[in-house]
Order: sequence, then C-alpha cells, then structure tokens
Amino acid sequence: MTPRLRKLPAVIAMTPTIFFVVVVIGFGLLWTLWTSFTSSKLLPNNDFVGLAQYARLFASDNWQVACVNVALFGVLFIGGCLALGYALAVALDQGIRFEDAFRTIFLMSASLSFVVTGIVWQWLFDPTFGIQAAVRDWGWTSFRFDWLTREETAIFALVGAGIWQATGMGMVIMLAGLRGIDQDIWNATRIDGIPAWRVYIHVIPAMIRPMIATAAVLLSLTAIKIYDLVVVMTGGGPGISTEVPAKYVMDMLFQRNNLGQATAAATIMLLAICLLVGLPWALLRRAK
Amino acid sequence: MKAKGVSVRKVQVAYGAVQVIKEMDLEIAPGEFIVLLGASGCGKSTLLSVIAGLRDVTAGQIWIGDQNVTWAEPKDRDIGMVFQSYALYPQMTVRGNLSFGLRMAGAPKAVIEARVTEAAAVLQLSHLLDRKPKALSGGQRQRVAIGRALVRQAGVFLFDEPLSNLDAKLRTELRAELKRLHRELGTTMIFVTHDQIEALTLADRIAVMEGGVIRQIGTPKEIYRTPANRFVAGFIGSPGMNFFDGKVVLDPEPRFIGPGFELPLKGYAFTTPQAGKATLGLRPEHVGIRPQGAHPQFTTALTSVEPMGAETLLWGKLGEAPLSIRVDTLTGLDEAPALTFEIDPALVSLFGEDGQRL
Amino acid sequence: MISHLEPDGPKPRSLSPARIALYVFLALSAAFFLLPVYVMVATSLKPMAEIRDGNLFAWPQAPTLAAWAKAWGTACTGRVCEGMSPGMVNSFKIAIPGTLFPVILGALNGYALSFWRFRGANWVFTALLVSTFVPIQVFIFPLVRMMTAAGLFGSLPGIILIHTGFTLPLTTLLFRNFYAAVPEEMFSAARVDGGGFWSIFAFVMVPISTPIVIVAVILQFTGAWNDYLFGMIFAGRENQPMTVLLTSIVTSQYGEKEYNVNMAATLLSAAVPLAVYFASGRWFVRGISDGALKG
Ligand SMILES: Nc1ncnc2c1ncn2[C@@H]1O[C@H](COP(=O)(O)OP(=O)(O)OP(=O)(O)O)[C@@H](O)[C@H]1O
Ligand SMILES: [Mg+2]
Repeated sequence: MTPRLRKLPAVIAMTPTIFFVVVVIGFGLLWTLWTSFTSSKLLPNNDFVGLAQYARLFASDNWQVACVNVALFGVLFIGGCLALGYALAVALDQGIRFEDAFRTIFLMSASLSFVVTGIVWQWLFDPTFGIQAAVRDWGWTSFRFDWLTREETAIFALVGAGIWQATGMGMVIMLAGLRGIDQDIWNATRIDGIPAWRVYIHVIPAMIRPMIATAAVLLSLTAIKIYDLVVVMTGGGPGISTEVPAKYVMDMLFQRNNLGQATAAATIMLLAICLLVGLPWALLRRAK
Repeated sequence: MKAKGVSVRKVQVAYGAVQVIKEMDLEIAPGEFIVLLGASGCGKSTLLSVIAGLRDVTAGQIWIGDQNVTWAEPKDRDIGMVFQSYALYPQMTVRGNLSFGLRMAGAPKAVIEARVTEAAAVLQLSHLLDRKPKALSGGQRQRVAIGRALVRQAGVFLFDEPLSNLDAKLRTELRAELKRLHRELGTTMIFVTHDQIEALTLADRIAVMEGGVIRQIGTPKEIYRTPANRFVAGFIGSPGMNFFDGKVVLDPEPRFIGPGFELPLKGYAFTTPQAGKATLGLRPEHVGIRPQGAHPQFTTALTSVEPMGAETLLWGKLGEAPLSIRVDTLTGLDEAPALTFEIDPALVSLFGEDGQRL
Repeated sequence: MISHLEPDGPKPRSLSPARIALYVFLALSAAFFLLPVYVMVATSLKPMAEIRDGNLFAWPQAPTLAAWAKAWGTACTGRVCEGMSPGMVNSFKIAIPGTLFPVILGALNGYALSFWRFRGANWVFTALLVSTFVPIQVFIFPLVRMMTAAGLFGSLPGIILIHTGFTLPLTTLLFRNFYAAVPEEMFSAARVDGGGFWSIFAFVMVPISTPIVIVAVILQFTGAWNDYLFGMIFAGRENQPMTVLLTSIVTSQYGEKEYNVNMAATLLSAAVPLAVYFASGRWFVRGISDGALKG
C-alpha cells in the first residue's frame, strides 16, 4: 500500500465534512457576497449595483442603532460574564462546603435556551406584575425596575438576562483553569504573605489566560449573533431601541423581503466577526 | 539578616489515619546547613511544609528562633522558601518576581530597589532583570526562585528539591553556588533532597529519613563512616554497601563468621558489643586492593567488571557471598583474573539483628 | 501540662470574616441564579387572579396544575390549540439525531485531523475554524434555496441535516483539541501493531474519549434542544420543536396574557435540558477540566 492509499480512509471519513464546508459554507458565502452587490429584493437577481446596498445600510437608522447596541451589549455582556464568572469560579475554588450544589446552581441557567431566558426575564421586568410591583408591595413605593419599558434602559435589561444565562459556562471554563494551577504558586504567595485576593487579581488571570480567552471567544460569538433573546424579550423595542444586527438581517429576509439589504448586513457581520474574534484568536494561537 | 535556629518538638502529621510524620524531634542550630535526605514519599516535603507553616501539625510544636510559631502564618515565621517547580509568576519580569512580595507588603521603593539589586548581584541575575521567566534557562529560573526567597532577608531558608529539575552539569554549578551563598549569608538553611551526593556535598548535618522517622542525623562523614543502622548504611553510598549475613562471636577474640569466611574484628570500634546473629557491611571502596599485611587477607576470582568512567566496579566473592570492589580504572585491575585483598576491620560496619549498629 | 496560650498541635479553626463574606457572596449569587426559576415555578402554579393581586415572590396559596395542563394540551399557537405536547416529541426527534451525527462525525474528523495528516488536512482544519465563526444569517437564504431544491425544506431529515452541518465544525474542534493532547506514541504503537484507520479509532481512541464525548454530547444535545432559529425556519409545521411552539404561545395570545400558562410552557420546554444538566453536570465539569478546552 502506498502512503497515499493508507490515508484514504481518513479522507473518506472526512468527506461529509469537506462536502459541507465546500458546498454549503463556500457556496453560501460567495452567494451572499455576490447578492449584496445586487439590487435583489424578494427574489435574487443579478443586477449589479456596486456598493449601493452598503451605502443604504449605513444610512439606515435601524442599522446604526443595531450596531451601537451590539457593541454596547457585547462589551457589557462579555465583561459581566467574565467578571462574575471569574468571581464565582474563585469562590468555588476555596474548598467550600456544598461545592457541588453551588456549582450546579450557577451552571443551571446555562442549560436553558435564550427563548426561555427571555420569557422569564420579561416577566421579572414586567412593571405591573414583576419585581417592581413585588418590591412596591413590600412598602418601597418609589422602587423602579421598569428597564424594559424605557428606551434608554431596555438594552441593559437584555444584558442582565444575558449574563444570567451565560455566566455559568464561563465560570466552568475558568474553574478548570484554576484547578490546573501549580500548588507551589499558592505556597510561594503564602510565604510572601500576599493576601489571596491580591493573588487572584495580580497573578492568576495571567496564568489562566488560555481559559479566559476561550470563554471570551465563546461569549463574543454569542454576543455578535444575539437574536432569540431580543426577539422574545423586547422584539427590538421600545421603538427601535434594542435592534441588533442579526435581527436586522432576519427582518430584511422574512418581513421586508429585501435580500440585498439582508445580505449586505450579513456580510458586515461576518467582517466584524473576522476582525473582532478571528484575528485576536489567530494571533493568540500563533503566539503559543 | 539574623540566622535563627529551628526546633521541631514532638511533631506528628497525619492525613486521616495515615501517619506521615511520626513524633519527630529535630534541633537545628542557627546558621546550620541541614539536609533532609530520604527516598520518595518518606515525608521530607511534609516536614518542610510544616516548618514553613503551609500545613498544620497534628500534634507538637515548631519553634523558630525563640518563638513558638506552631500557629503562626508562613509570612510571620521569618522564612524564605524555594520550590522544586520554581513557582515563578509567569507574566512578571525577573525584577517583578523578585519585588512582588515586598511591594505587596508595602515596603518603601528604595528598600525594594536596594534588595532586588543586591539579590540579583549575588545570584548573577543583574543582566536578566527585565526578562520574563519564559525567556530564561532552567538554572536561571531556579536562581530567580532563590532570589525571591533572598529578598525577604529571612532568618531561615527552606529548599524543597530545588535542583532536581536541572541537568547534571547545572546541578553541580548551582550546588557550588548554594554553598557559597550559605557561607556569605550565614543563614540557617534546610534543604530537602533525595540525591545523596547533594546531601553529602552541601550539608553541615544530614538527617536521613524513612517512613516519617529520622533514622540518623549527623555530619556527612559520620553518616558515611558510621551509619547508625542498616537502613542508613544501605541508603548512603553508591554503588551500595556489601552486606554479609552471619554472626558475631566475642570469645576469645571478637570475630565475624560469615558464609565461608571469617573476619577477626581487631580494631573495630564497637558501640555495643554483642554476640549473636549480625550483618557485616563493607563499602566497595573500602576493600583494600594493595594488601600491606596488616589486616586479614582474602583471595577471589573476578567474575565481572562494570566500568564507571574514572572508577571500575569489580565483582568477586568473599567466602561464598558476592562482593563488589571499587577500584581506580587506571590500576588496570579490570584485566586481572583474580585478586588478593585485605579488609580493615576499622572500616566495616556491624549491625545486630534489630538493624542497629553494634 | 502546657498552658492554653501555648500554641501546640493543630491551629484552632475559626470562621474568619473573609470566610463569612465568601459564603454571603455564594448565597447571594445562588439567589440571583435561582430566583428567576423559583418565580417561574411559583407563577406557573397560581391562578391568574392570584397573579394579578398577589406578590410575585409569594408561594401560591393553593398550588394548581391547571396552567400546566393548559400549556401542555390546549394552549393556542395561532389557530392550532394543542399546547406544547407535539413539540416535545419533535424536539426529541430533532435533538437525538442532531446530537449523535455531529458527535460521531466530529470524533472521526478530530481523529483524522490529529493523527492522519493527509494532504490538505490543514486546509480543511482552517476552513472548519473559520466556519465556526461565520454568523448563520449569512447562509440562511442560500440554504433555504438549496434545501428546497433538494426537497428537504421543512422536513425532519432537513432540519437534522442543518443541525449536523452547522455544529460539526465545533464538535470537530473539540475532538481535535482533545486528540492533540493524546501522546503520539500511543498512535504509533497502534500502527506498529498493525492497526488501520478504523480499528485504531474503535479500539484505541474511542475508549479514551469518554470525557470529551460527555462534554460534546451535553453541549450538542442542549444546543439542539434549545435552538430556535433553525427550528423556526427549516423544521416546517409538522416538526416544530418546543422552543418555536413556546414563542408562538407566548406571543400569540390576545387580550390579557396568561402568565401562568406562559411560565408552565416555559418550564416544560426547559425541563429536558435541565434534567440533562442535573443528571450529568458533574461529568460535564470534569470533562472540561480533563482537557476538552485545552489547546
Ligand atoms: N494531601 C495528602 N493526602 C494524603 N496523603 C498525602 C498527602 N500529601 C502527601 N501524602 C503522603 O504523605 C507521604 C509523604 O509525602 P511527602 O510529599 O512529604 O513525600 P516526600 O518525601 O517529599 O517525597 P518526594 O521525594 O516524592 O517529594 C507520602 O506517602 C504521600 O503519599
Ligand atoms: Mg517532596
């Protein structure tokens, strides 16, 4: 058997994947890219219009709001999940009692869908029945928890729900990192008399950087593609205050029947992901 | 930097039902370089971490200087410690690693600067201060780890197998450096290793441990020349001591009767003369290959030869039992078919049935 | 007798303020994660009158399963009033093959990429890496066209195919990272012993893959179960999974919203993934620690 022939089963095993990558991913990408340069509406056409779709896209209020929102959401959501997730992982790593129970609780919401999360938090934010009403009922009558009904705050309600849902996953990944730290590092810091909290701030994050990076990449992918949560919780409202790019694409596809706009917006999303996620990740891997 | 004594008083350590340190007493004088030597798993690291305060004792007390530190935090024990895995902070430069502890303790900038500069000079790290650990060799990393302990200017230094991750050449180098460091600083040093060469070259006194117990403590010479029991005799020395089972007869003259040979014991310094079953220990290097006629003589055929570079190990027989003989390779004895040798009874060791030195 | 002030033996343990603060933080965090679930359960057991007048956090005075029954059997999604019940079966029909195919194929791919560096393997790997990042929105319209052309649009095989395709890159990456940490000697030894592609996979690799298989299965299953976007577009009327039914029920009510029914429906759709986590969360965590995410 020639070496080439011996490796044939590997190629055969991978054929479905290769087929999928080439046909679906490759074809889909090219098709979307091409369509974004045409004047396609309900049906795709080949009427080349240059960058007109992109010009319209960036002139659109909805798209501008969507871009600002996804940036704001992304920063707060990723930052919040990482910070809270790290704090929880550290807390779980202190040899506490009931560690399994606490970990299960923190990880529980990660098993839910964004649809479920959205419905629950919409209910909690409901001004007439939700937390606001309950707290007022207890006597604090000026208490406000109506973020979903106000344009300036609705996006923060989404962030809160997102953090509730996604923190657990980040926590588990970082906990795995903490468990891998050399015990001698802890001994050394104890001899030096450095308080544990300072070690957790100054020393440990750098040591579990790969885990933090993994968590950050997963979270940023979630943030950029965020769609279900918005649809269920706010539907993009009040007004257009919680529009996001993924929803813009979907609306253009299925409600406005504007293929040109949808594909242009999708292409921009793809570019943004390549720049924001792919590039640092590739650099990180190279550095290793 | 004031050297402090360390005293371990009736200390026990147990993990659940397993006694890892069994009621141990150990007195270490100020400025002494003491080496804890023993096979893997005998409790050396445990003892060290108990002295450092990284682990609680189950019973007993630890004193450092004239203070009972049994319940004190590691940082309050006036110690510095160096770990086998270096445990350097990977994202900090050498300077950062050396100064981190002091900075966190809120020491004045000038003091930090002065101590870091001094430690770096002592350890020849001055030109590496702005590198990160990743960009250092193993020996340099270990020097940084030592430097991190040094800047604390502690009264006692603890080392847990600091050289075992290094290659042979670097190990020799750092050994010499540690010895120089001890001379210059004059601090107490407690050094854990399972490498007897390290122990014999570095120590003022060696404590040989087995199963959570100190089997003998003494100067390297004492440990080598007059092992207190059969365990220590077998543990120290490489290639290992020859052992012959037999018995000691005291009347009319002290003699050892082994399998197929008899050795008069004139000149052997008995600690506790006792007749009966015994084991004779003879180091391969103490076989007298140029008999002068002053000591009992034996003859053997040489059955095999193991070259070890500068020296050669010859295998023959003493009576019916195998005997290894260590000779200088240049003697040319490795070519000889047979050998006549003498045994100086002053150089042998005798152990009673309980394994204790006779 | 040593005096009481003389330190001797183990250090006496006391609950330090830091330790207390730690437990307070843990308890507060637990409350943050549990409260929404508690509210869901409590609300689903209340009649509407009690929801209107009572406190959100109060336990129902007379817990009733009426809302659950309605959510399961008679709640309306648009014109159809069959509740969530058809969705349960559909979700299983989608999620089980949608787990098995990507995990099995992903394991094979990861193995082939790690050990059988055939020509172009690096190229395939890079393409997979990139495709995990591409937003699904990019593909939706071309996919609809392709699926329609293949006669699979709106069918069960169609939605399973979609799930398999789009999660395959991720499972492949998981397995590749895992196998990259397996010592090359292990593979070489199997080769010397005469193992081929399939036999080494079956007898050497599969037995050591338990941690990563657990991680992949849990991720895939909950991911497929929780998917909304694909289900909404590609599953078709007949095969709507629970997430899609749930959104229809919640958004299609006219007049006063029946919050108790909504919450019951939500819990119904969350029950299976929750059960999966409770049953296997421990192994999931261990699997992640054992190297699923290294490299
Ligand atoms: N956390 C622990 N729980 C239970 N037993 C332990 C624990 N740590 C150490 N031991 C046991 O205590 C004994 C002594 O361990 P120790 O680490 O002190 O050995 P050592 O002499 O330093 O060995 P080495 O040369 O391998 O470092 C060993 O038998 C070990 O198995
Ligand atoms: Mg040790």
